[in-house]
Amino acid sequence: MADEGDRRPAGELESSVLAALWAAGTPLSAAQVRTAIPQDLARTTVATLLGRLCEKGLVGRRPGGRGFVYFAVQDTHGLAARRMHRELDGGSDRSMVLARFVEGLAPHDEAELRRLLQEDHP
Amino acid sequence: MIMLLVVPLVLPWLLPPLARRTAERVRPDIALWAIAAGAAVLALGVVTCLGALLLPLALRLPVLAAFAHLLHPLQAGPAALVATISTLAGGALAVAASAAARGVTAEVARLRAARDLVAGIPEAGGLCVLDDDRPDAFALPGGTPRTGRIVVTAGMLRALDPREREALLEHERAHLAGHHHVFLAVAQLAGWCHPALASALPVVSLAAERAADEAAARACGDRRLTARAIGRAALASTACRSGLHVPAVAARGTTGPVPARVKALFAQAPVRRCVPALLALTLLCGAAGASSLGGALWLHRGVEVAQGEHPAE
Repeated sequence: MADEGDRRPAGELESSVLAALWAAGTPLSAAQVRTAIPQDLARTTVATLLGRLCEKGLVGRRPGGRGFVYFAVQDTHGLAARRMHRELDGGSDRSMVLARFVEGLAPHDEAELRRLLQEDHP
Repeated sequence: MIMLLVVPLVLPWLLPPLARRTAERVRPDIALWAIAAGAAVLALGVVTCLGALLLPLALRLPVLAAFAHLLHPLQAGPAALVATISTLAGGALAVAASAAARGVTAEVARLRAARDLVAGIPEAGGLCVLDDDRPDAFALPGGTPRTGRIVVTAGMLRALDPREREALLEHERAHLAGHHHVFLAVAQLAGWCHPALASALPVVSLAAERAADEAAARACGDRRLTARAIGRAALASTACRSGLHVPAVAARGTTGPVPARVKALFAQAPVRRCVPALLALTLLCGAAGASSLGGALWLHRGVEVAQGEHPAE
């Protein structure tokens, strides 16, 4: 099954690796990255993806343990993040065209959602 | 006969209930198409009729009457009625035009600002991560699906497990691949033309999310996983509420968009392509179009009579 992910476009695999490194929050070895993504990839594929992300400057690496550890490169002091937040939530009118993944929940929606998720996982 | 031009101004009130029924029963990608197209047709009818209704008032001005080569005053019905309707139409048209102008300017500025910010962040496979603990994610449309970006905060990625992260990415990819922002923009424009069309906006927005959810569920091969990803992302966002907007439309007693999406994913995938509500929606658009056209032809004939082309019967 090592080639399950290889049929996917390389870009999608890169984004999965990047997401995993950001989610971890701490540097990961290539082997740890391999278990932190849902696709079942060969070791060499993960190494190639990490190499490509390093070249793009999205991921940094330093020696650690056996071989290298990799970490997500943060932009300068989260500047872009803060400005984006201000742009999107500035004022009372919200962008309709930028569809958010989820909106905040009203209290009765939160209760309803917790009930639904609990039914799924009793 | 002037009523032919008034009917298309009233018909949009039928859209919200029909849109809700359509969205509940038909495949979400088809519902998105149908409702956005319906809103666009009805909005076009509204603007056409408001413009046409303004004509009798405008042609009373000697300058415009001379410009249109009118020999006699335009006869469009009882003078007082026509004057009232005409004035109201002028007011409505001005309100709609200013709302649309303000809205479009704000939306374009916001999109441009977001695009400029994201342009400074390197991407991998279209994904840009913002170094922000507040969970948030959205699809930023580019000119083409290739230049579109998935913008996700680090907080959102940390709130989900690896497979849920994949569901989130597939959801956003579906927004970009399906050009959902076009449907949302069309619905928003229509909403500025008529208050009833504005109240159909949440239905269009929900249909776009549902369409992306179904695409994500297909790509991941797991509906429950996709439902859990949405649910956990929403709970994480709510726990970190600062700056997040609770949709104002979530009235008491009604289910908000997130529980509705989760519930729909726990149920079976919708497969129906056609329902009575969809046919009614088509009929509604046809009626609005026919009425606008009939009214415009009648007014055109009235203008021709006033120009002395047809001897008045």
